[in-house]
Amino acid sequence: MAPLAPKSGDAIFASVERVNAELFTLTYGAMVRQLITDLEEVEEVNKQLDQMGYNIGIRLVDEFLAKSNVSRCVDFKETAEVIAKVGFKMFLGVTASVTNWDVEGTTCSIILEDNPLVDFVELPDTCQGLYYCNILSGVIRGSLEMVSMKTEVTWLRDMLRGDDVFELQVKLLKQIPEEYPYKDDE
Amino acid sequence: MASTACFMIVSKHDIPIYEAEVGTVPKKEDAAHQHQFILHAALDIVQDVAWTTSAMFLKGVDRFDDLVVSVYVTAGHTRLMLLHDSRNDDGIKSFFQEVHELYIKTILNPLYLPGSRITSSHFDTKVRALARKHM
Amino acid sequence: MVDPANTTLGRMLLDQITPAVMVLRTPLVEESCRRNGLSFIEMLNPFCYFNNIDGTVHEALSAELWNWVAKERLKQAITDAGDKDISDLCSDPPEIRNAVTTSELEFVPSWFQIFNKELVDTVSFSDHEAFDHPVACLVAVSSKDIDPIDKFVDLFNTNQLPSLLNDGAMDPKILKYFLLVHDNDTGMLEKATSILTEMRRTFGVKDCRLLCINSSLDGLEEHQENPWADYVRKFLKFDIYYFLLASLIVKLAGIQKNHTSHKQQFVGFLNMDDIGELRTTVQDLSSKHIIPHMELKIRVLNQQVSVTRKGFRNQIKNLWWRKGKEDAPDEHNGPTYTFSSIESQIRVLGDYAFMLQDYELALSNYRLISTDYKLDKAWTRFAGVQEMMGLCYFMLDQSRKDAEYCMENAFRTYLKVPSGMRNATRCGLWWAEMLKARSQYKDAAGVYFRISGEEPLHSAVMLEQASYCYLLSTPIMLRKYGFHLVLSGDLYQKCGQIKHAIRTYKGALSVFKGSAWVHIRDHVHFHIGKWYAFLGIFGEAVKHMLQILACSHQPRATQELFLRGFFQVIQETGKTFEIFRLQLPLINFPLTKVVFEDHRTFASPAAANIEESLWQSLEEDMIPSLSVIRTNWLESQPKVIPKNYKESNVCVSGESIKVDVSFKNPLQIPLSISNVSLMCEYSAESNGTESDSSSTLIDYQNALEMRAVSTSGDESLDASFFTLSEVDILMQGGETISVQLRVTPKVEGTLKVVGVRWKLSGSVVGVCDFDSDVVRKKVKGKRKPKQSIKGILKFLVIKNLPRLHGVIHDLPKTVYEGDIRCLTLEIRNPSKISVKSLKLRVSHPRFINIADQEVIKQEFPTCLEKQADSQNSTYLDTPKDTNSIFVFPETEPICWEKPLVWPLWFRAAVAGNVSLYITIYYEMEDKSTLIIYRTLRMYYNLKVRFKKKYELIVAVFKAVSAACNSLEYLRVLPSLEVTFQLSPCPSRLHEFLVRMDIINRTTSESFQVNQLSCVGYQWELTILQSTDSGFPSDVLMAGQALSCFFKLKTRVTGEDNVSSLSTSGRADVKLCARDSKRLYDTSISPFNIFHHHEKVHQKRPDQDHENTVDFILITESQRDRDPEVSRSKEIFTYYTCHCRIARTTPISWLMNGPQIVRHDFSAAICEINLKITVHNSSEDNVSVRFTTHDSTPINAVSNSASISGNELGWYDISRSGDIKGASDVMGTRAGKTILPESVSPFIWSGSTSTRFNLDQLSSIEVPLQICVFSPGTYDLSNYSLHWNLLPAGGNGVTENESRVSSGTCQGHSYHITVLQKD
Repeated sequence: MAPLAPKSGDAIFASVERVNAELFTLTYGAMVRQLITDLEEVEEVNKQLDQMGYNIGIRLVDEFLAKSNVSRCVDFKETAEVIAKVGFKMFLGVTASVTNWDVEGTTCSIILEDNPLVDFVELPDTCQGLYYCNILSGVIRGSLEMVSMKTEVTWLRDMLRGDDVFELQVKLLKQIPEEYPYKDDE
Repeated sequence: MASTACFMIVSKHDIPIYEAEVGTVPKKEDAAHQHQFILHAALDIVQDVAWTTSAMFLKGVDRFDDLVVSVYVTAGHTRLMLLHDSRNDDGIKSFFQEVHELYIKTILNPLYLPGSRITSSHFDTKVRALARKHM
Repeated sequence: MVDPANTTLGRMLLDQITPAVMVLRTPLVEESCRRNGLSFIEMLNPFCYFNNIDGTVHEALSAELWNWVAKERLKQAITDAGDKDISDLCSDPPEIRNAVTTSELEFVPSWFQIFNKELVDTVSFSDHEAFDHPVACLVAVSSKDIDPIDKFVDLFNTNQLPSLLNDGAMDPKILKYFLLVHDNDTGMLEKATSILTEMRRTFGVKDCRLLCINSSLDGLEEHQENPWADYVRKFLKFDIYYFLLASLIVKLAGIQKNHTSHKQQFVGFLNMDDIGELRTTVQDLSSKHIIPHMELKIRVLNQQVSVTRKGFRNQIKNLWWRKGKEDAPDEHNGPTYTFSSIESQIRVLGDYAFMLQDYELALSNYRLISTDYKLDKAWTRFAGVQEMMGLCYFMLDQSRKDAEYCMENAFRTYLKVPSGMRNATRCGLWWAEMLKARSQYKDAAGVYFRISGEEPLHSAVMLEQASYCYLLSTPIMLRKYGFHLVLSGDLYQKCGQIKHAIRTYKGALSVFKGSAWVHIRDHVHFHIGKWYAFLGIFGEAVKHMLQILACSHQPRATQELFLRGFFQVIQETGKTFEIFRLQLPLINFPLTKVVFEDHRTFASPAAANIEESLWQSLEEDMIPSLSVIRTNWLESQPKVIPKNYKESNVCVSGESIKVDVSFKNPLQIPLSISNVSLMCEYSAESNGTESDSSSTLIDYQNALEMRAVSTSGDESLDASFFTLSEVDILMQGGETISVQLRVTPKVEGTLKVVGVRWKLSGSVVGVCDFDSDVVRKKVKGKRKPKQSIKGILKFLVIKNLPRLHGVIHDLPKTVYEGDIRCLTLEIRNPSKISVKSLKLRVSHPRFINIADQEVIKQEFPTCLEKQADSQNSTYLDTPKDTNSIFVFPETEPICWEKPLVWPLWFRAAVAGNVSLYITIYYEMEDKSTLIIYRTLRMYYNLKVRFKKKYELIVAVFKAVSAACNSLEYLRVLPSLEVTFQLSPCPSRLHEFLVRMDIINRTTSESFQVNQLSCVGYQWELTILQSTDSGFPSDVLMAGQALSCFFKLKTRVTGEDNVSSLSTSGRADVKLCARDSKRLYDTSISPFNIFHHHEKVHQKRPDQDHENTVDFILITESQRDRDPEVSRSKEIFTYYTCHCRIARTTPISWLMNGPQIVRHDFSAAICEINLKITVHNSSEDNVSVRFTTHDSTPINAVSNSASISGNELGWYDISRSGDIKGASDVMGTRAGKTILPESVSPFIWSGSTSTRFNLDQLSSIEVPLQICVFSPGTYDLSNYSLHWNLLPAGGNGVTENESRVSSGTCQGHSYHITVLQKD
């Protein structure tokens, strides 16, 4: 059967049901706060957030593919584009942009101008070094791993640290190719 | 513009969580504790008045020689107190309202522990800007 | 509501608004009274109320003088009140909360009443009110006066009467009462009586009286009850009010009461009947004269007023009259009223009525005239009347609102008129009392606050009273209370009433204590401290000063102020204080590190910083298993130690325990901290009973947290047990410094580190014990081990043990990769006791290895050169396990005089950040001690640079390295980068081309390539260039690259080992032209050892077959310009292991047959038999299909392309370094394959395709035949071999999909020439 045309992120975002933004933000904030009180170490919190995000990502990717029915990406570039344009729009309601690729096309930056997670948030001195949105990097990592791309996602810029935008660097470590049953016969 | 004005936010448990001297005249050496004394004493009056009225903005609650204490009591019984010698009450009122907005944003910050000291420099600058704007 | 008369105000009024009697007397009267130590008035005092207008005195004093007197009296009152209080000044004020529950009386200082009365008295005798105008005049003349009658007369002549009488403010003809005072011991009573009769004749019978005193002849009259005792001392005055209302009995009872209340002996000349006579005199005066007189006067005035003013007509007339008087020039006080004027008469009437407590009447009269005064703008009078009206309302207890309105009105009016302040004060006092009586304390406080202001001392008292009002108001207003207390305290201090200031501040402190309003707290503490210091009570001063030291929130200036104040106080005390938990500087808890050495000893502090688990993994199988290995220094002791040391750590006497304490300076100003040292408790008994020196900390926790230093040095006592290190630090503002403090126990026992002490800028000694609850709090919550810090700091000191010191000599600071050196490890044992059974283990054998001992004797590197007979060393054959333990030979136990020196091989294996951990295990000679073995842990860090790319980075790095040198870091720089690449030579089997690429990565070094040798006996290595022709350049400059080619040849298998051993020399190739050089023997140490480790290190998982070759490149460098390296020659070795033959296919083949064939073509076509030998060099079985084409295949190019693709596919398992080197090789070979030959007709005979299987590492010969039709040279390259890996057993192609599983390769060109045989 012919694959459906891939929907745009806005279309999906329009279709999914919503939750109050503040409720969402505060819920996430409460979670981070609790992590900080429990783990006491900012580094630990970063790790934990990333792990949570990973767990979300490995579940989320299926729904994403199902809802958005994007066709198979030919390369990593396209994947990054889809994440930025469709994925972020679909789940966060914001669109990101993909920039500064490196030469071999395995590293790029996803740039978020605005980020619903960080409304009202301001890093106090005690929490310096915290990547508040580290869950996002985890999500990307997890979902990409499900489509057999081992990636490494790091924050390059963070608005909470006084940068102008959020910049996620996605680095493709290795891509496990799906192998087809293949014989050369003659 | 008020020549001397000391703004202070007092938490529900009567602990000052933010203070700023927003007057035009450079404050004297002993001004800090003197202002604290007056505001602290004014808390007694506030505690009396606050329950009698439903208004948030209590203007001129208390006075000490030429200094007037105006208070804005939030719903959470956090008190924004201003010690001032200027008389434009509506300016002060709007100042209080906007600071209240700021304060709400601050306590919405999940990383801010309610009732703890407000150390955000961003908050500080905004407050001073508001003071300059309204008084 | 209680009866107004019983309220404080009521009592005040009844006390003060009473008829006054003017007393005029002759000096003789006084003098005769003086004999009793009393003045005349004082003598009469107990029995009545005399408003003390001594005519003469009052005349002399002008108004402001009067003020001055009043002020002095007030100050006196306050001061002695202060002195009274100073007794309980040091005691803390009662806790506010419960003080409120208790009644007002014991809380509010009692002297307020007195003070207020004094204050009110200062405003008496003003002309605008009549109640303190004397209603009668008592004229007393002594019987000793010469003709007393005249005395009576001229005593009462107007020129020395008070001004009130003269200026007509009051009626001059007042009631007179003539008293003849007779001193009994002068006798002649009849003379007195005669004088009396004469008086009676002159002044009238009933106004004269004789008073006899001093009737006791000896001056020793004893009285159980003393009327004067309290009256003279206190300001309380007995009240004529009793005379008025109560009967005689009541009065007596009253007196009785007073007397019994003051049992005090009184000695005088007055005996009982004198006193009785005094009493009767006064009663007679009051009841027979004063009261009737007043009542009479009231009656007269009343009807007079009603005639003139009552009734409608009079009102109209009055108003009209006033209006007529309207245009009178109204000066400030309105018109002056004489006593005869109707207004003042009404006033007098009102006052009298008030005095006689007919408040209704008084009120009505006051009302009557208040309007008049108002119309007349006689403000003072108006205010006075208003005041009285308010009081009347109060006394009548009706309409509080009116009362307050009146008081308010009066207060305001008083303030309006000049010099009305004092009246205002009095009015305010009464008003406040009124409010208090109605328990409107808040308003009362407001009134007090309004009174204050005119004059600091009064204001101070008023503010204090105001504060108490706040305290008593409901809801209680503690903050206001505190604030007003502080205000009054400031005023007190301004008036020099320091004690009062302290008292008030302490009161305020109970409010502000522990509040988060830091500025307030600091202010209060600071001032109390200063004042205490001023009073010389230094203990208290210091206690308060301590509260404000750590004021990080204050601006810098204030911090300096506080600190200066503190040090001033300290200096004034003269002695140095020792302060428990001094706030300057703060100590960060938990303690960062505690380093001590039980069975683990550290060669360097750096080694102590390595975490324990790393060492343990290193020592795992060195240390005997009987002792429990402890995961960290917190865990409990091994079993060999008795139970009660479970929680304590073991340390050895004479070896220091180091504790890292980090101080933080909370202020912005620098602090100088001197002799910081630990505090320790030592107890000799092993069962850990506290010794006496341990009591020092206990009494800190007791009530006062501060004491003067006791010069009875328990330190000196402890000095015999342990020695402490002392550190001095200078902390900048906000700085955090971590100091390492050490204590060295000297004798066995139990040592406990209890705290740290330091001296703040040479004057104050700070003490902090680690075991306090503060510490606990800090430690708790963190994810720290369960054991409390107490356990960490308790040590069991055992007797002296040998402790080895080890150092590796001439470990180079900076080396290049591949450098091989011979280092010496020196182990010395300072103690007498010798140790045995040393073992050594190195964490990175790639870098450090043990050499054999005689290497020391030989000189380096000649010892490495190949001897004629290359014997293998005994125990130094390549060790089997990579990290083995080296056991030192049991020659002799190391004893203290001679150190053990042992050579080490060092090789900078790789440029990278490497930390070397060396641990040396040794055992004690005697097993008696708790610790039978110890380990010496040495740690060296190889700080390494990244791959050099840009000169800039190099420059930066140079700077870094300079820094690193100071830190005795060891750097390994990348020197040569050597890559090998093998390719089979197409001509022959078992022979390979070796291409070696060398790139000199260094910036400045130049190397001399010396020797290349390949390890393993089955190899032979020969250089392709002939050495005599000259190696391109045997010296490799910086940044230069070099590549040269060798031929590598495997021995034919089946050759026996002996010959291989003998001919193993052929595995080495000398690369330098000079024959002077000898080859190095790569089979001896250290080459073989390092080769072994390199081999292990470079091992790759996916290749484990023998078909690889390892190369060793040995170069030398002349570095005589380098100062730090003594010797001139360095040897570098580069190991490249597991080099595989760079083959595209698992198979190699060789076609062999005749090169030149002569054939007679006329006869027949020529058939040539050939053989192709196919060798399978892979470890898998291969099925090979041999296909011949009769024409050169067109797809040769595409084939070559596919080949190159395959080669890329192969390369991902090879070193990524030599892609460049390899690819051009491919290029050449590809070019070789595709060049088109002239296709001349020849055909393959036989089957075009043969298939055969090759199992691994085997070869097969396939016969071939071609038919040639014409002479010529033919290239038999038009065949192809298609190979296909057969999955061998379980492990097939699948596990490594990176290898291609099948491929096709073109045949090599094999030229055969066929000639026409003639």
